[in-house]
Amino acid sequence: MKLLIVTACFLAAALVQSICADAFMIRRVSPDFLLIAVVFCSLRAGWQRGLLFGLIAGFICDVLSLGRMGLFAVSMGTCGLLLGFLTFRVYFENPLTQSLIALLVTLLNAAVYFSAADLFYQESLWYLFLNHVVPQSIYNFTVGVILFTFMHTYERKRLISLA
Amino acid sequence: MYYRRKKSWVWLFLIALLLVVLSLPHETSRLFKSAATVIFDPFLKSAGAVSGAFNAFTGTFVTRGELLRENRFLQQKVDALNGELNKLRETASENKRLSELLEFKKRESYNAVPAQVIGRDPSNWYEAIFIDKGSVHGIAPDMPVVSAQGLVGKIVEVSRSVSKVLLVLDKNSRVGAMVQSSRDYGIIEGTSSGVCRMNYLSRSAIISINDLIVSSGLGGVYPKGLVIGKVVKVAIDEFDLNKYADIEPGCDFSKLEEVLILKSNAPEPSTDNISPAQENRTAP
Repeated sequence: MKLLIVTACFLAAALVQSICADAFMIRRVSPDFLLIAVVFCSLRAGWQRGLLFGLIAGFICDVLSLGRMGLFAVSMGTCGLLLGFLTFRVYFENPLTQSLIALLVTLLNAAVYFSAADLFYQESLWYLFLNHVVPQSIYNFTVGVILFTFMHTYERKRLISLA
Repeated sequence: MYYRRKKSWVWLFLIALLLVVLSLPHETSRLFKSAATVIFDPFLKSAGAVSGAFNAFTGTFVTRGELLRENRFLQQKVDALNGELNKLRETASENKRLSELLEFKKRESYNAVPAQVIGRDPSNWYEAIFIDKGSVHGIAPDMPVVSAQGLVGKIVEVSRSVSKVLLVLDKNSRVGAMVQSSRDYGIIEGTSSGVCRMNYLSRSAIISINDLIVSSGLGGVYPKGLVIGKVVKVAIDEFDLNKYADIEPGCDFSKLEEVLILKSNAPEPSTDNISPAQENRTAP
């Protein structure tokens, strides 16, 4: 059940990104909502679930994107796995910590994707790193601060009401 | 213990599956992807419809002054275009007479299929859009896509009712092009930075800022004469061999809502006259 909800969330994030990208675009860069969703879910899930979440998000991105099949699954799966290892090792309830992790994960995701594209298809995409990936990581950090603060406030209210 | 071993098999299977998918040939991978896109078709189409309705709703709020200004501007444009149309009609009939006289081979005709843009590539790394027409509407890979402002790109992936269009802005896009005024040939390549670059122009090419660039028709993918954009910069390449020009596309890709897919009326073209060197047909 939980997996279905997470998959639906990932799908919704990918659709929002695909349909409303122009609304959020600044100098040809838009935030990666799907990756932010992966950070949020995998940080709380442990390595196995984190890997699974990353693979699901990667599969969705692979199908919707123009790139080769499987590359996003590799990059996001790696990110999910590493994020899963961080569960209980970092203070992930803090929105700033999560946003900082989102920034680093954006860079890592691109690095793994570009390396895999280079390795499997001899397609070099590294020229995008400075112009697209670095600004996107900063954008993800900014959007992350807003989204994670909102989620944090919501979670806290829910816990208080439960208590 | 048994469950733990079973779990590791599941992970091993997943990783092996991923490696198999990664090592699939490009065509098989594309087929697999098209099949998988069918799952997302209804989501994409309904989300696109909702966003379209929202845009249409928000677009209706315009002030009276703005409407009057636009109306006056459009009226002037209609008058100017009517004059131009009359001149063009005259030229077209003359062209027809002379072509018949010289028995010129007729140019290939195209059917335009209108489509709506329903989304964009979710990654920031590829310049592509989704349109709401697919194989059921007779759409196939490599069909050119245009808008009122000019060339948009070509179809690269087709599923049942959604297709992906590779924009001319993408680094993987190649279009045979020429300078409209001087008929100098070159190849337009995307740069992923909002402008395209026209490469392989000869050093003697006559090209200057604001010159109009149109498709050359070489390569067989794009028909001849489609507007691509205007020249914004001309320079000589680093090896001092050729000129290159930066082209600002005629189309504003961030505001693209409707496009036309050009379907050829002619029977399947033979592959003999297609030069892969001129137009790279590979998608990323």
